[in-house]
Amino acid sequence: MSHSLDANHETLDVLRSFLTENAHILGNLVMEVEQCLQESRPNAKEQAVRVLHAYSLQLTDLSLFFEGEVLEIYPRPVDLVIVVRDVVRMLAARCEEASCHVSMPPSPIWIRGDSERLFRVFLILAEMVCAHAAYGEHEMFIALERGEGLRITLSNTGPAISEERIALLGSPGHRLHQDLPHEGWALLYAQQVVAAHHGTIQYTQSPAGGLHVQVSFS
Amino acid sequence: MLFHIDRLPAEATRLLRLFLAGSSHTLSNLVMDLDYAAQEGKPTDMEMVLRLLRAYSVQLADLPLLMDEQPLSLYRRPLDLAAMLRAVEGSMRARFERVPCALRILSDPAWIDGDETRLYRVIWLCVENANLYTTYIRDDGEVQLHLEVGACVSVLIDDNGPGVPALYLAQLGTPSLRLYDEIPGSGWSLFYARCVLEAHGGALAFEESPLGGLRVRITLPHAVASTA
Repeated sequence: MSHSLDANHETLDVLRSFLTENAHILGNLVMEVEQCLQESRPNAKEQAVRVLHAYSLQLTDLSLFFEGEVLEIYPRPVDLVIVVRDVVRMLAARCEEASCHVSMPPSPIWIRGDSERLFRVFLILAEMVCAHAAYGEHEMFIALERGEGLRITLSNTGPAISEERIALLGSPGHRLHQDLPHEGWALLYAQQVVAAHHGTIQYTQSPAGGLHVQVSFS
Repeated sequence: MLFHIDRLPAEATRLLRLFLAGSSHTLSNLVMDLDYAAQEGKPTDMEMVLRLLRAYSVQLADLPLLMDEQPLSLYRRPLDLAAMLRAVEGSMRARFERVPCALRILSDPAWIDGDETRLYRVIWLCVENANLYTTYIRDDGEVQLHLEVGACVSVLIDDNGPGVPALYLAQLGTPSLRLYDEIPGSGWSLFYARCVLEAHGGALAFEESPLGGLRVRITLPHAVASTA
């Protein structure tokens, strides 16, 4: 019996890219949950459920996006320091090959937003920067700072990445390198969430030669 | 290959929407089960959660291959399908507190040669479908799981949900098929189930259930050792 979908090549390519990317995300999610439990951290189960919940929200949001609906968030006070710290903890499992330097203020930085969606977005961005850095055994940096607005920067020291390739970030089907996982669909989601928080994401070359991601909230 | 999000083919958008509706429902149900267990003061079975997530991850990785009609690389080993059916029922216990589920195992153990992760996912998907459709349609939902051994090993999953009109029975397992707009889900899960079972030399069939809803019939060949 044939199982082929009654769809044209482009449709199949779109589906294939989406499924491949999400299989990888889910594989990472399994790894994160395993790490939580193996380390017997306090609240490990709660953290594991949180990661799962955030990914579930991502899929729900994307399904609404394809229904043509605009993402709505229900803002509450969120301490970004805690959100970013939680992301760094979750990322620890995969940052072994890329030293991760974190710079955050000691006191809370409050914004009004959706903590679970922001958690998911920073995890997506941090995973991408980490995977890219680890690919070339480079270092990565995460910094949270308050200036005129709020800035969260995630960057690495390499491998080098061209402006042309950076311009494609956030396009479904894209990946930074053929040996790295796809990240286009997830970045598209990140873009939607940050925009719903009246923020922006900018991708540029890092002064140190790698990738520099800046999330700004006014 | 890159895609412009505003210029995706309409059929791709439709299939993605169907897939996402089913997937987000599956994951949010899992989160709900975990929350429910926590509220009731019951221990969270993270091994079960991991097993489900691993199996789901394998499904997502398999689907592109199946869409291209490529064969799956199965990791076969002797499996007791009776134990697997109990594990699936156990993993959905929170949901079966709302919809009673009767489990009847007529042959224990029931050995097959199969890929544990994929078959666990397939049975879980079929049982979840039965639970989902039954829950949405009626307050007195009921699901029955039945395992019997004859010329092959058979798992029957019956529900008293809305059922499927005879006209559509043969189309079940087509990714683009969605019968009830008000119920989340899509044909992706049954498409996957059908592919995995056929890769095992088994089959997935649908018929009217004696309970009034749908009967899903999973058949798999006996383990080689048990027939020798």
